[in-house]
Amino acid sequence: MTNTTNNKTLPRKEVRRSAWTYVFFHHCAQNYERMMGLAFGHTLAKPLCLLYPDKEEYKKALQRHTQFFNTEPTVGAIIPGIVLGLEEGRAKGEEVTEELIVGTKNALMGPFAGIGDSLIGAVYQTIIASIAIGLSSDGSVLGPLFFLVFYAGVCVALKYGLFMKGYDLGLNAVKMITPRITEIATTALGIIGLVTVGGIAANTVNVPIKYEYVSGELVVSMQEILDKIMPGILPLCLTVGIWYLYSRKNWSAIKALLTLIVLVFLLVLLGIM
Amino acid sequence: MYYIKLTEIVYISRKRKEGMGMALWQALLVGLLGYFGVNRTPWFFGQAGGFFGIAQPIVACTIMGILFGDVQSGVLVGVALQALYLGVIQPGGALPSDKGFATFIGGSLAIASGGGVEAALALAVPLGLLGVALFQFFMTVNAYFPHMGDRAAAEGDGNKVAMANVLGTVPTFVVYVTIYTMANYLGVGFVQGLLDILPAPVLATLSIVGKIVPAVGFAMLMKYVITKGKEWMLGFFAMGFVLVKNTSFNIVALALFSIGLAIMFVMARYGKDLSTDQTVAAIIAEGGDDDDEYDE
Repeated sequence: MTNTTNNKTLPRKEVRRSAWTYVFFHHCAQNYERMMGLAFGHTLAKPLCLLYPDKEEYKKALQRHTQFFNTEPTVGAIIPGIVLGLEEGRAKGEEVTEELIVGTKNALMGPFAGIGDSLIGAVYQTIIASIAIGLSSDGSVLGPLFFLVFYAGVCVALKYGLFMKGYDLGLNAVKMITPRITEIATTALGIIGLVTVGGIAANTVNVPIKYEYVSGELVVSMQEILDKIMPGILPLCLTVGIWYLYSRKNWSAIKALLTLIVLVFLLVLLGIM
Repeated sequence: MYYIKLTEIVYISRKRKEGMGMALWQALLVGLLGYFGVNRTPWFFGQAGGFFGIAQPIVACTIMGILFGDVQSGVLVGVALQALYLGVIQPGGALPSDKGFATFIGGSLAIASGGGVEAALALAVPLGLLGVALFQFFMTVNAYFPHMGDRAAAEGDGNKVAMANVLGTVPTFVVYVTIYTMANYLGVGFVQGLLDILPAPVLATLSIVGKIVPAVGFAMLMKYVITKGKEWMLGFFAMGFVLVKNTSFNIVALALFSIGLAIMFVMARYGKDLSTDQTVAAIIAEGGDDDDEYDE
């Protein structure tokens, strides 16, 4: 990678603005294809513009940060922070490769989603809601107020705080990086990222087949046959197949998407799905 | 899911004809409030103040109680609905039931009609399922916006990327405000009528495409990580997929496992140099730093 050396450090004000952008907009265009991916790009768009005066570099940065991203948004707020710190290091010409940044992002989003969903979604929300219900069981407005302050309020504070903390973490990590560490960390993070992303895909991609062959007493379910080969074989093949068409056969994502919709519609009409 | 007959709640729409429903301006305010509570809306500190704040039944019903001039019954309906959803997590894609529909149609009609807690609870479950259908519809259709973002990113226009993200809330605004307002003004039968208009294969297609379409997102992500000549790395993706699908591994366990795998790989590939290299300490320190991040 050629470095457009740029000694500008991001003003603290810009980092804070980016954190608030995240807090307000991190779920705006949420969708099944990329989940919070576009919002991630939105969060970093402004600071990246300052970091990369070179138009080509800025383009690439925007493209790598509008890809699939999904995590539990409260605890996971640390991830865009870390990524911003790493990007600043890269912009300054440190040995931070594109792969290292993308790898870090991919490797962190799964575990933080797991931790966040159980900590914030299940445990913390349940505790706060239980207390609020108790406070309001006689019709008092204390419960909703308590809930707003200790759930919504705490979540805002956590998101902002963790984003800023992540930024500092990312900046500090950059200081330790040498070309060798970059190479090793890129390999390691690539592996961790791919394995966890594979796991997330296993939980999210689902190809339901309802076709059953019926002949008298005999009922053969296609899904059962597929499951006997290996549970999840269809979604796995489908994901790898789309990857192949998209990245090696130059299919556009829109083409893949429309093909999928038409295919599913036909299969639904045929009674297979 | 789409064919639930809402018989037990039709009586509320009848009550509307008997003059027990709510005024249009009240229905509009409920619609707006309901929109503020959708996961995607940026108002009130984004998700935190909306989905985690206003949309929570105990908060929403209190506000609607104030709106209908009966705070006490608002709070009580809110408490009942909140208790119903206690411990129900709503992670990313898969919601068991949608709080929004239960709250902003079931809860509001119960408060306005004076039906109280029982009416609200009777409405909550079937409406929650309808809400899930609408949520899935949006999660599928909204896949349009990242492609708008792709074009903006390819032009190197960060403002347009931001705009695409924000525009992603516009259809949400139009559809949710309309449905919530109409349902509150006309009664629940309206929502059922809406779903009846769409032919069953279209609904089924939307629901199934919603389950498959993440595959496109993962394919795009893998393009980034698996560069040309590194196709063998697909094996790692398959490994994570197979482990989660066929064992009881969850993502955090899988992440820890993959750290071990990465260490093995790195040792096998660079191990020889590592034992003689001065950077060993630095690398270990770096690895330790990664572990700290998982503890956060």
